[in-house]
Amino acid sequence: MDAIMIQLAGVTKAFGETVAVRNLNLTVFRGEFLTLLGPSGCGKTTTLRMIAGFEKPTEGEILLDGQPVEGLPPYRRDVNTVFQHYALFPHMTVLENVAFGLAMKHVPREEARRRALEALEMVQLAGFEGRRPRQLSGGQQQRVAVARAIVNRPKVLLLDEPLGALDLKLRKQMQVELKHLQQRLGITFIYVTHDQEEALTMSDRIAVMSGGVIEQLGTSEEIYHRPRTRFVADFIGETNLFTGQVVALSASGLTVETPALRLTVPATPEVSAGALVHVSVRPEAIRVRPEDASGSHGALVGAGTVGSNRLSGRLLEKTFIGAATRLVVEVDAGQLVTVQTHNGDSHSLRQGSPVTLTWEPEDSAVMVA
Amino acid sequence: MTAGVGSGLTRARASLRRLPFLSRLMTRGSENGRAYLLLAPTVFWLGLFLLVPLVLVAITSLTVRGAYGETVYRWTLANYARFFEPLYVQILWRSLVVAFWTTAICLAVGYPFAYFLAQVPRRHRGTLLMLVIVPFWTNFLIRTYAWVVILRTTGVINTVLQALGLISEPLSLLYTPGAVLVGMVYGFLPFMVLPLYTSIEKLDHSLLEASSDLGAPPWRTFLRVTLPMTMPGVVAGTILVFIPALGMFVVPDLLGGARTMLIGNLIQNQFLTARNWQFGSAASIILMALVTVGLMAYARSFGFEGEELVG
Repeated sequence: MDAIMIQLAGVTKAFGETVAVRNLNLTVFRGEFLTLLGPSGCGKTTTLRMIAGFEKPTEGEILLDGQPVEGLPPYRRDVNTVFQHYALFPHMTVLENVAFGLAMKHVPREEARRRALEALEMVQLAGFEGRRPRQLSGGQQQRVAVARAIVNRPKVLLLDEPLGALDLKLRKQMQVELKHLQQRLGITFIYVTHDQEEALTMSDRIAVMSGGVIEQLGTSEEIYHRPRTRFVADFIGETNLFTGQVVALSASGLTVETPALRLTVPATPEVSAGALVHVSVRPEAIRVRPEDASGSHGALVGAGTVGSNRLSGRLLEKTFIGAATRLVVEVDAGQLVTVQTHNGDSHSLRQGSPVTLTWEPEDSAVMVA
Repeated sequence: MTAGVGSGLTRARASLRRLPFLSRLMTRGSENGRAYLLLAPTVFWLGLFLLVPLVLVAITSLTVRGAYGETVYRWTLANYARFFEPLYVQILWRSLVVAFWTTAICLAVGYPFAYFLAQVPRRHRGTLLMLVIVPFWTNFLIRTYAWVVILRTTGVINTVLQALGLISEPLSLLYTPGAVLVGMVYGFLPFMVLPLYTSIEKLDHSLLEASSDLGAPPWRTFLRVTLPMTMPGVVAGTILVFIPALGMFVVPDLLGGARTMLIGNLIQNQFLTARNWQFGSAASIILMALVTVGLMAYARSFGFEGEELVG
């Protein structure tokens, strides 16, 4: 994964007054599964369409396998797209759809047929080649769209929310299949989605986008556990955010003071004393137990020193969500904290009862506000 | 054609059933019978003004013309036989050729225009579609006379060309087959553009992107995706132009000379000038049979059911 396959350098795209993508720099390696993740309107699809050649960057440069693609129309770029609504040709059979790209490249008829059938087999649609797209289910159409793209063995496969129209179960199954397919073929995938779970499951790296810029680029673990901006922390998964000021710095940790609380967080190089920061703590990182007699209300035990964070609060809500139980706790400062526990751990807790929340500093992330 | 009508009825019934009141009407007691009441006005109208005259024409075509043009009820096929004389076959052939070229030119001119229309931002489309339809506000006869003014020796074109010194003698444009073609194309172009526009406008743009993405340059995208996907519009447009073009008599009458008599003029002459209703009727029936058979073959080869004609 060392060779660079795609490079976007200072790419900006404006539609009239609206800037969809702003000064974007991104490197995608050969064979990588990179996901552009973000809410609608964050510029992820525009970025994909610029790589495909459907949109022309207002500024900046895109390199595909080292070659600038500027001025190359989509039909001369060695990339293929799986469209959001598949865009299968309704007047052609499944086989004709899949063989379309090969026919355009003047691959001999027999070979094209053989390769198309092979691709259909790869997406588990052997035997469907004579059907028309409208005779297939959504999931099957999706597979045809994938087969139609990968049959060309493109350098890069672009996928624009390809699973968006499928139901949850099928989506999860297709996530696994797509990932396997990608690993097997070794094709570079650039995958656009607004579904953070999908992104976390499938990607080698994720670029979280918002307002036309990349907020953070990293592996699933990095993005999830060490979000660098408040937006990323909030968008990926569920989190508890505290906002406060750094009051003490030490090699092993920082102390952050909010109007009512004092928290210990891991040392972070880019944060200096006095800085205003957000602290993010995932619900599943917090342990809960009935209020113990020794607990002092609200304030952190052993304030100023580095150790476990401990908050007192009152249980407001308890919701069984299947594999876990979700608790909403009002800590003394009036702030609500969401906690996710194993079902057994919260068994004895009653609504309204006083509880103590604890978590380790390294389970929280800090970002400059 | 009967197949088309049949499936059209099935569809019409299916869509009528979606209305609760009508579905009750149609399923209750004497079932569909009452729903057909809704068809009664149409059936009455078509029966009285289409079917009855048609039967009269068919009967007339089989009778003998009396010395003063009256109908003598003696059965004969002589009128049909007469049509196959070289003179008339030639007229029919010429009509087919003119109708063919009218259709072909309308398609060649209309397709790019309809495509353009479908690409224009929505807010401008209304205006442009309006411009296509505006000519219908004026009588067709008057619009055809306008071409006389444009094409005649002292007409607009000749005057301008002479004034510019490009020609010394006026060109003879009027009363030529070319003039007929110009008038026909002018008159029928909207009938080609509108169904084409409807078809192209429905075309999913992402299909064109997919084609380009898969390596097809624009012209191959057009041949492999755009054209096949808009074929219903092409079929509808060609039918809407070819059939009336085949029977047209106003344009050849006004813009064509004596040498450009078409089958429409022939029939018109038989009825109004020659007072030979028998032969005119036979020619009408032959023309109608020809169109029906041709149309069925044409429509069938495209799996066309007729709904495209109404967009």
